[in-house]
Amino acid sequence: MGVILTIIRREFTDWWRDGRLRWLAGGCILLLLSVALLGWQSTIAVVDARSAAIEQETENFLNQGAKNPHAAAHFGQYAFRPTLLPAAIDPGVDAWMGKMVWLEAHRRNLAEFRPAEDGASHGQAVTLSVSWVLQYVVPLLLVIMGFAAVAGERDRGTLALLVAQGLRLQTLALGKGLAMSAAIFMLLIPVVAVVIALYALTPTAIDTHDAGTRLAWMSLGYLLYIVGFSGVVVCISMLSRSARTALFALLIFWVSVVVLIPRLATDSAAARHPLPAASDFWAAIKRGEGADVVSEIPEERAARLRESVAAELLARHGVGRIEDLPVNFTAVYLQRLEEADAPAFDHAYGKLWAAQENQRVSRSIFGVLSPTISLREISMALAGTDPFALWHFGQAAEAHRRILVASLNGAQARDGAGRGFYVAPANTWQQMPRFVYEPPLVTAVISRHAVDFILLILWALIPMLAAWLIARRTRIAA
Amino acid sequence: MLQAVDLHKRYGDVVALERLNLTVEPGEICCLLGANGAGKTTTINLFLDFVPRTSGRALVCGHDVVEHPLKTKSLLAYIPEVVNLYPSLTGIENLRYFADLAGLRIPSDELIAGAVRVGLGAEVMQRRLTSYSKGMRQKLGLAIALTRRAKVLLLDEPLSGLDPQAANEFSCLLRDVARDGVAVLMTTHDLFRAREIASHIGIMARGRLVEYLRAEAVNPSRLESIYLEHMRAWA
Repeated sequence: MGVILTIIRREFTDWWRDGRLRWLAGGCILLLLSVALLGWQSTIAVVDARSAAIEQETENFLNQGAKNPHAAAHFGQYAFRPTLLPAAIDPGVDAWMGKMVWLEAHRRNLAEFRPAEDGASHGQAVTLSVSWVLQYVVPLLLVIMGFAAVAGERDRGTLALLVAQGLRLQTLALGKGLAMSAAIFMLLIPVVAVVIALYALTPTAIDTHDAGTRLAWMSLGYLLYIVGFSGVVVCISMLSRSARTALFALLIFWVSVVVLIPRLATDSAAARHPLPAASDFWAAIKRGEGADVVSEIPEERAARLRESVAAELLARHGVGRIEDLPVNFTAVYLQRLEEADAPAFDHAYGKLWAAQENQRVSRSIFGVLSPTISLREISMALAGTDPFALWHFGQAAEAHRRILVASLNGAQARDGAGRGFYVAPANTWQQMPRFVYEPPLVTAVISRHAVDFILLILWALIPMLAAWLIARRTRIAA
Repeated sequence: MLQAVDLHKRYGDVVALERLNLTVEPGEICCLLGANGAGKTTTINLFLDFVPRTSGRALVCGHDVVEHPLKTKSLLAYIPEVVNLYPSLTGIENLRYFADLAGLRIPSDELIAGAVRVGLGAEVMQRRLTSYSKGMRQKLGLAIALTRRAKVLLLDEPLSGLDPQAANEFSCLLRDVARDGVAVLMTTHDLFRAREIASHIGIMARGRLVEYLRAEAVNPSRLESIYLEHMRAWA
């Protein structure tokens, strides 16, 4: 252990005295601090806007006055997707996902308010993030710091001196790899301290729901990623005949693994599992695909349903006219229509989600070639900024929409019997269910991304094993 | 003590070293002379276990270098043709680094005393290696070897590129080291310097030790004649 610490100490002295690396590390800290501040600022802004919007929305719904309950269902309300604290670290695809869902009768809506559509400046703010720096810039920094780890010793002739005095190449490689990883973690310390201080000192309504556990798992992912990269840098440095060759090989590796393969994975997944076009998506819902009755003319389907509901109610209650029914016919019919349309929404949204899920699985397979893909999937999933977070929220919002509409229709069916147009009293809305959303449990997120985690663990272990084997086989020449 | 017993190295069809038998006792300096490719550096590499031997044995203080690599390496020190070390570190930091790697906890004043012994002043040791001449770096390499209290010293053309004064100083230091009971094996092209400092001289050609003689038994001009005769014979 003493020998490894000696190697680490010397590496740090070397980096400190090398002005270029000092500037590079300083630049990296500044970049990380800047993106952390940006992430914090945009997250707080979204969280505060959401809190204000929820308050306003609740007030609007509760104070709509005396009104027909089904009209109130059309008046609707917004469900706002929560922003978790780790989203400040990794905004993922949050900017493209939509922040809220409009809940109304007869229709399941897609999420609205995508920050990415709000203009370039906002889009850039969410793209530049701590996760982006850690996933893309830090590996490059590791390459620059470590390309000469062993190849430089060989160039200088110190490798022969070190081995001649009994230093095992495995020990040297381990010391170099640990030094690189430790240097990166030291760069992160001031950034983490500033971010924690910001969140601790700023009063905000941010959802800290299991944030500690999520951040701990995220940290583990990034730790594996950095350790793996350090290992690869040491391996390539050991295999290269000169430091220059090592730098060249590592830059090609970085471009391939961090930039090209993730891009290829995304494009390939999108090509293999295309998402339905918006026009096809809504047309399928309109046709009632997946529902009991499929028809190109929705009005015809509705008319047939109206007739069957009327016949059923008249028979059940033994009356001859709709006006004589002990329930409000319109409300019962509208609720039946709601229930009849639900499978069509489930079918269309299910297909949309299946395509997204297939894309994720397809991307994850590329994690065998690029740990950046596995890490990105894990990181944004834990940050609650991946498509699953939106899907999970959308499902909860839809379940609430159905309960809310059923409650409103139920109120009208019960209290509006025998009345043509029923107007419910103003206090009716306070008796309606409220939307309470719980994001998915961390355990659920982890189990969804178990393969990504396994790939990351392998990514961290394989370079270590390879370094050990390469060190054993490497011959030194005097 | 350093000992080669039928030490043989072959690269494919090429014989780099042919059944070398050689013993360097404590206090002796053995200089290996020979043209490029004669097998001098291969001999050093085999004692360092840098390359696998084809057959035979290389022993350091009675321990086989292949069977006991760590033990033998703890007993020897090696100085290459060019001692570059770490340019970003000072002389004393380089010395401390190698001592620490060897697991030796040596106080700074003792390290500086070792450096002063090889002719590197305390002030010089505080400077970074970027300002060191080749001679100073060679001396620092020797200081590292002394710090480790090695029993065997292997030097691969350490005088190459040194000016006459630096070469002379370095030779005197080597004699001092040998007097302390260290067995020294050195390769060189410098016949006259070899004659001056060595106790034994070996002449190598085409991987063979073709002549082995006591240095005091020949004068410089006779040594040159013998050397040239062998070079012509094996050309």
